[in-house]
Amino acid sequence: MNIHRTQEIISRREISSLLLQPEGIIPDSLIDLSIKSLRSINGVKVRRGSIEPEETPPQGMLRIHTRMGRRVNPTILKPIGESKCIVGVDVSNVKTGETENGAIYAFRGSIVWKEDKEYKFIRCGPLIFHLQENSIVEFNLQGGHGSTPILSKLRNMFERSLQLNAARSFRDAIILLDGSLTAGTPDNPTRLLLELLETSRENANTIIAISKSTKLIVNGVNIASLIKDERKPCFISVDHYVKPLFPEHPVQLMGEVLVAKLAEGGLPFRIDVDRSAPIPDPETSLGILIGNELLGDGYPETLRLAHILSRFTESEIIAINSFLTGKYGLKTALRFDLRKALFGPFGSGGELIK
Amino acid sequence: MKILQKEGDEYHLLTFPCEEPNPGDYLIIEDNRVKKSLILQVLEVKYANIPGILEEILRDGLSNRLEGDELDPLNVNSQLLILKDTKLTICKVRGVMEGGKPRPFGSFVPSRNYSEINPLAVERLLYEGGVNRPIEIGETLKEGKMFIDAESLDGRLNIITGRKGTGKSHLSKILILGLIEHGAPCLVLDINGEYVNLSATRIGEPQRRYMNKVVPLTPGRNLKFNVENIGLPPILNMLIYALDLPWNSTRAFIRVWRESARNGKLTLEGLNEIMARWKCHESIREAIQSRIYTMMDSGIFTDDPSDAVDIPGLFRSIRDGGAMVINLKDQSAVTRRMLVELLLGKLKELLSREAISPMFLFAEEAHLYLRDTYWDDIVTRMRHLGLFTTFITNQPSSIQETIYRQVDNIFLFNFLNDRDLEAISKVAKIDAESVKLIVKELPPRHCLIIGDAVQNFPLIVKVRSLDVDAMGETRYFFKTRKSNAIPYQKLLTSSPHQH
Repeated sequence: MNIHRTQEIISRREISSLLLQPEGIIPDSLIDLSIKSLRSINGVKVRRGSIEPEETPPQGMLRIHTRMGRRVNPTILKPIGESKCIVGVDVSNVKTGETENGAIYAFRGSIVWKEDKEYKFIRCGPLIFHLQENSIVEFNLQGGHGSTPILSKLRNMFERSLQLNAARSFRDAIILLDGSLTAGTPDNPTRLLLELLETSRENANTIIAISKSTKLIVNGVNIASLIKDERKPCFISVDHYVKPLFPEHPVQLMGEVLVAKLAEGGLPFRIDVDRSAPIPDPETSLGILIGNELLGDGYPETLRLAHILSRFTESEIIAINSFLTGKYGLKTALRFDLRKALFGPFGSGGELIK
Repeated sequence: MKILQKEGDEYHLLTFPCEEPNPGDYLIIEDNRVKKSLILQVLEVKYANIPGILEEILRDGLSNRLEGDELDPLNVNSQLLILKDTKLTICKVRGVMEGGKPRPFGSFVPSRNYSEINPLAVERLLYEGGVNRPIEIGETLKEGKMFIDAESLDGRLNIITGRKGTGKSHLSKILILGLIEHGAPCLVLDINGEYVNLSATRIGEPQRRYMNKVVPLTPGRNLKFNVENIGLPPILNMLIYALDLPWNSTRAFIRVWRESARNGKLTLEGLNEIMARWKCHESIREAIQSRIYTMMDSGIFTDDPSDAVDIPGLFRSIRDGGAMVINLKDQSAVTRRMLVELLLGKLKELLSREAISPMFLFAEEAHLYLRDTYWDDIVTRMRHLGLFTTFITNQPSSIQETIYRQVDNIFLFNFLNDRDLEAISKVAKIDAESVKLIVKELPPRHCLIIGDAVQNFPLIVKVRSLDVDAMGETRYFFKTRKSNAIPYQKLLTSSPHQH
């Protein structure tokens, strides 16, 4: 089937030509999977989803016990004026509704880059999937990890393809990712992250991943609190405390793990820096980042913009469902609330009777 | 279009970009289950409050400052654009359709699931029984020509009001010429002297259709009155209401009048002579004589009967269609009031005796020459006698609330000022909110017609152009002098006081 491809939608301006393969950002295979899954919608009823992004279920904290008796002094970061392009990549997904036999999810991602004090972006998506129980088999995505939720797999494929495109399209840049450089989990294969890091190095790019939250606990405290009293931009490497926690297989830490503050009075974040990046030490790569980027609350503007541009709004969920109704015959069902049906006004805790 | 909610006689509809109605448009909700239809008129079109739209617009604002591209393989964003442009259309119930016939009353609550909402053509609303005496007013917003029946003005009280320069006088000329064509007599009180050439084209050539049908009368020139012909009641009205003659002086004047009549000297000179030797208090003599001198000085009275106008004869001359235009331009305020009192007084007398046929009166800016007590008289007593008034004004607050309550037809042009809108919202034939919302949005030359002329279905009409001598156009100073326009940008960059 001939699908409506991006080259018909994208207005080819200077910005798109900056990326090496703008129409290849979203792999054809993903678009085909999306369309294939949407064909199963015909006549299916949907109950509206919410705009709360689908988060991966929280896993247990990783507690590290070390005889870190005395306080580790952080390394103070100084801005380095060497001009470099800063690139941020982020992806968002949302459940737009539940069907009788599955759920509908939408993905969207953005690549934002700062060049000559100007921010530019390319936004990809939404890509929509109707995921049912048999989708993982149908999509032929088992790949050795049959029990992995298909949603995580698809999201990872989508996110890695955007990141890979950024790594291919930019040279001598700092590429910021949302999250960590940990791989080897079923939904996050090491192969894809390795490919990303290698491609990035080939183009002299430095990959830095920034986590808004971390589950790493050192001596009973979250690693972010190691530098909470420090006002100046600084970092502490917790790599040698964290690394022993991860045996070689299956999960691997592909970057040096730091806890850092990137702006004065900013918030602390876990930051993973590619160990084999062209810029060899984190002090330099983070210094260049500070020297080239706006860092409101210590969070890079490119990543902030990438997140804002990717995130789904309530009206977009309505638009997506309306699109599916028009094109794939989706029907909207009235939400049936079992508790309300059984218990009436006493069905939910503390709700006012209007 | 979808029904969103109903509040009182107001319906809120969700409308999508391809089907956006405009304020003033009519819609019909046809409930296929109960076979009933509801007639709605669009009052206002707003943006629909879509969940999440604030974040969407904030993000748009942010991304508009950035250079960017969208890769949308499934083309979902087109749906979002539609959603962002979804409008909330506020409508008022104007009636129901029963057996294909529009009724400007009644209501029911149509089903959200089984109802269809469609635009309603004006021709389905108006004059289902046909138009007896059509007057072409202009065009409706979508359907082309729009006519009213001259009979809808017959026996009615009408108001034409709007801001300066919106086309009020233009519409009143259309109505006057329409009435003339249908054989109706009109009396025009022309404050600016803009109706006097009503029978001529824009370039001043006479129009055969209206040849000898428009009789312009200029006070002091071809409009002079003889006191004897006019008679005592209109003269007394004039003295009391236009010249403020006190009541005890009025009694003395009546006696003087009778004495003059007995002596066969019923002229201004004669009245003055008798008054000079009349036995009365000096202050009374002074009061009456000063009024007589004012009458003499006004130039609108003559003691020569052959020089005076034959008012009944004049009215008879336009009996089969015509307009008597009283040019009040260049007259002092006192003379204007005197003239109007005399004319209306005489008219009332002739109408009550059925000496003349009923007549349409067009009074422009009537507050400048009409006494307060006349308003009620015109809309009550004189209406029954056969004088059907159309007031034309740009000061709606100059018309009393009682007039608005009794008006049969109102032609509303644009108003922006809240005080003006408040005044016109007193019209009994429509709710205040409709008036305020629609009138504020009206472009020039468009008017909202309310009342019998549109069978009580308020309608927005673009008033047609008219090939008549536009005597009422403002005279300008600069327009007659050559000029070279300087680009504004150039003014900003040039040195000060260079021009």
